[in-house]
Amino acid sequence: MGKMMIIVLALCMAPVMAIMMIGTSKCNKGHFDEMQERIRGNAYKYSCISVGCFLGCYLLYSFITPDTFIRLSSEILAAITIALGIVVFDIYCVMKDAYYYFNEKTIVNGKRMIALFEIIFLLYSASFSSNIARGKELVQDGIVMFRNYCFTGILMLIVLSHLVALIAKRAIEKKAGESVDEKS
Amino acid sequence: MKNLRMKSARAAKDFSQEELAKRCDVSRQTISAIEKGDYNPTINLCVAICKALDKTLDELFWE
Repeated sequence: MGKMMIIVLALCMAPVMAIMMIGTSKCNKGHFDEMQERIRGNAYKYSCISVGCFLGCYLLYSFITPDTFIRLSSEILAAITIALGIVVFDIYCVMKDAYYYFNEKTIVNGKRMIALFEIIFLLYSASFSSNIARGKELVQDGIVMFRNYCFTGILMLIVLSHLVALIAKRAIEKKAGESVDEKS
Repeated sequence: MKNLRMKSARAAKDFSQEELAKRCDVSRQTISAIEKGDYNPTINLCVAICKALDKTLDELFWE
């Protein structure tokens, strides 16, 4: 029954996904320039290094303190690792102006984008707080288990990091007094 | 090292960084970084900049 449900759901989702993909391919007229591509390459490198460091530290710590160490379940370890990679990539790209297409029509670092992310963050935090009230205990037999609120929480943190990076970038640009139409 | 020749060629043409960026199909930040000497452009971009400013590669980029 469960498998049947998933197949039906996938069949329902497929046309929706196809329509969305066609729509976005028609909408997205922008592209990254060569400097942005290079910055994004560096961002991938740093995110990979940070993920490696995190996993290395976790491995080392679990060897050093095998008895007292509260272990992470494989699901939550994977989720945290992926989230860490995304956050590092996100922050680096936003701070170096390489997250959005340079010729995108939307106001990238403007108030609209920040407001959009604020709304998404509020939605996630509302969902997180309602899930955590109903959710099970996080630590079970010394292992941090993956609960459904963990997923929402991780998504919330990713959105928060992006929001903070956008606000910081905006503040830095304001402080530097960088004018868009600089002539000399 | 700052690329002052490119900056002065741009000023001579009365182009803003934004305008030159549009003509070369790159971001304003890229033009700014090239002028500041923070970014080494590829040969394709160098050629595009030269065409936009009516200069040769030697005039703008040869040390």
